[in-house]
Amino acid sequence: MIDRDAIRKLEKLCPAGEDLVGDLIQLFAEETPKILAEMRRHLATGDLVDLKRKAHLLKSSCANLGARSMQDLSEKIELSTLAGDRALLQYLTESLESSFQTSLRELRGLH
Amino acid sequence: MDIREIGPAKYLRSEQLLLVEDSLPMQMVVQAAIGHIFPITCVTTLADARRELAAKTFSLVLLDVGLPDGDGFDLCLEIRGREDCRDLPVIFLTGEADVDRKAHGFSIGGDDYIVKPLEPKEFRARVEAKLARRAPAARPTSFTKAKFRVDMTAHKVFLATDDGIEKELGLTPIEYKLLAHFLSNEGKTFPREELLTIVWGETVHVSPHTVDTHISSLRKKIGKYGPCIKAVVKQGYCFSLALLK
Repeated sequence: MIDRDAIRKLEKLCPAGEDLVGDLIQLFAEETPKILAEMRRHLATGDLVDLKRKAHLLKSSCANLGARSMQDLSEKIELSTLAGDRALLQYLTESLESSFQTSLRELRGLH
Repeated sequence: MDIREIGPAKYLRSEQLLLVEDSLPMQMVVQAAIGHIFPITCVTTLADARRELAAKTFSLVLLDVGLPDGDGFDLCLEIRGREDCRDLPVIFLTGEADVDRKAHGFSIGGDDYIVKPLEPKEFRARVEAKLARRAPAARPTSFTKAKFRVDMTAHKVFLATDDGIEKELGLTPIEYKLLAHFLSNEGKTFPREELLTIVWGETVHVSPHTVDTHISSLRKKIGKYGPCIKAVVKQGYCFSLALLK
């Protein structure tokens, strides 16, 4: 679920005494639930433009931390907003929420 | 509005970079990769990026494509259309690996296109390569528009007379900033608030109508070009050579 190579690359970036990966995981843990809640709200109100924006934002955070499954799901949501299939978007958003819990557990276990 | 200077107190190089990126984790990664080398101004929207570009001189722009208020490609097109920064290197930072999008990025004048996640070493090398190719001699120190010549080093504007002799306009620093901005964005209308930010910066709070006073003085100093600075009702001011009588 987590691309360990992405984490290794980030670790190499850290100046001595700094914990970039730890900070990014902490930010990911704090911010992702807020983004997911907003995505749910946009889905409920049919605001697919903002849903796409949030999915795009999340995709970028997930890519940094090597959370590939979440990155793929975010990208699918981003692309699916163009077709506007609400049922598919609902399914993908729920899958993303579930994948978040698993990814976060794995990230915390790795670092 | 969120504009931040990120990085340590001392840098290995002095070139100022502009990072236009709405993702905080991505900002942190960029900072970790090159923030100890270059001073980086970070903004999260196109509107803030436009303000920063109008107010400061940058050596390179790192530009996300999907931003809250629009598309980074649009900003790249604007940069390429501006007299004062058309040679500014632009590197797209994006999560979109689609080949057509990449090709589009290059076709509109992007200098490089880096797909996230960043490979830090490669990223640093690409930024340094773009800066190295931009030799100091190639950096614009002045530009001309109609019979005006803007000296961006001396912060002076010269106007050529009909017989070709250049005369310096005795502008105040505020008038210089206003005129240089208008000349590099001919035909565009700017709200008073935006002109205030460009000229006075974010931290000084003055009435939007202060702009009117300076525009009035500037019109007198540029002689027959005065009417080219036009007040657009409820929108602000526009400089257009088409209005020259």
